[in-house]
Amino acid sequence: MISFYIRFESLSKTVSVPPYETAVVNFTLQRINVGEKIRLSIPPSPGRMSSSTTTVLPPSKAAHLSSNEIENLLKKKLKQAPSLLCLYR
Amino acid sequence: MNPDGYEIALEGDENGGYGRGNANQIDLNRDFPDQYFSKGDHASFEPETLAVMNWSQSFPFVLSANLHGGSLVANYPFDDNPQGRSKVDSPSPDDALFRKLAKTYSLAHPTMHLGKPCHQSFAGRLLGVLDESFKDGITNGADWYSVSGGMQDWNYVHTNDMEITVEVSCFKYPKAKDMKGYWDLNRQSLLEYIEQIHHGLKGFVLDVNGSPLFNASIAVAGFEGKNVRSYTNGDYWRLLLPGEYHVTASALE
Repeated sequence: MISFYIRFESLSKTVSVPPYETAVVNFTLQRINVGEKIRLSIPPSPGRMSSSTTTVLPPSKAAHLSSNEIENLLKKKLKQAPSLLCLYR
Repeated sequence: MNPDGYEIALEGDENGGYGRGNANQIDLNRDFPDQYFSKGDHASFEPETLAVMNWSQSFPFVLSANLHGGSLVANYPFDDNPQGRSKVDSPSPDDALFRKLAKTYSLAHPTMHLGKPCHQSFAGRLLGVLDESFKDGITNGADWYSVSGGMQDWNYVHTNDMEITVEVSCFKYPKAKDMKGYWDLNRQSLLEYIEQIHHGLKGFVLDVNGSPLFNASIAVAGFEGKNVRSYTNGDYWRLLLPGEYHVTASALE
């Protein structure tokens, strides 16, 4: 199984906490699309260091795919280009 | 947390001579992973400790108190320091918040806020007064005495939760006939303490499609070391004192 993370863009807000109630602060995070790439993080495992980026899909395709769909596409890509695994040794 | 110790403990035992440890004679409130003192790579933990840790990390608890006997004070993190020294204040990043939480409990208690020490006795004989006093009935843990491996600090470091330790009785094992009295003494404090969950921030972390982001990190600038995590609906809570804060949400899916 290939495990990976999809990174979201961090979002910062300056908020004011009142004295006698809880402040409600919601965050809507965007997936990070770097130019033509969607940014993935692959966690470390024995023999493989972590990597912060990889080329997978153009954002027009990637934006609405679920994690399962991205995983399947990534598996296909790795089969087509097995040398990709070397990048993460 | 220690049912095996409870089985052999003696009702009315003022000093807690029996039943402190579990069936393996381990003090469970010294058995949690400590931020300053590691047990080593092959450390093992008691089943009761593992059960509480798993439970604590399965739910996004916001605020808790663990109730003890043996003194009358509201104790807050940190309980130890890198030197393992007692009588040394060891503040957490949320020290001001913890002082407020502890004072909330203490000031609502009829006698805790007076900060008077317990009397020390043995076999019914009064030996004297313990060498301790607590201004406003609260204390930083390490400033009282250093405790490593305690549950209170573990909660702060490893979960979303803010926890204090409340010593509710000079007797380690009060008699059953006195429990109503202890309830009456602590009821208002417990209620006012619980109400403190309504201070700070709460909300949701979602993606652009409105789907919840589980385990997103909520970080408050100036409070590094106490990020909280969103739960299954993207919901989060972060206790804070009134004021202005810079808050950052981030996520990996």
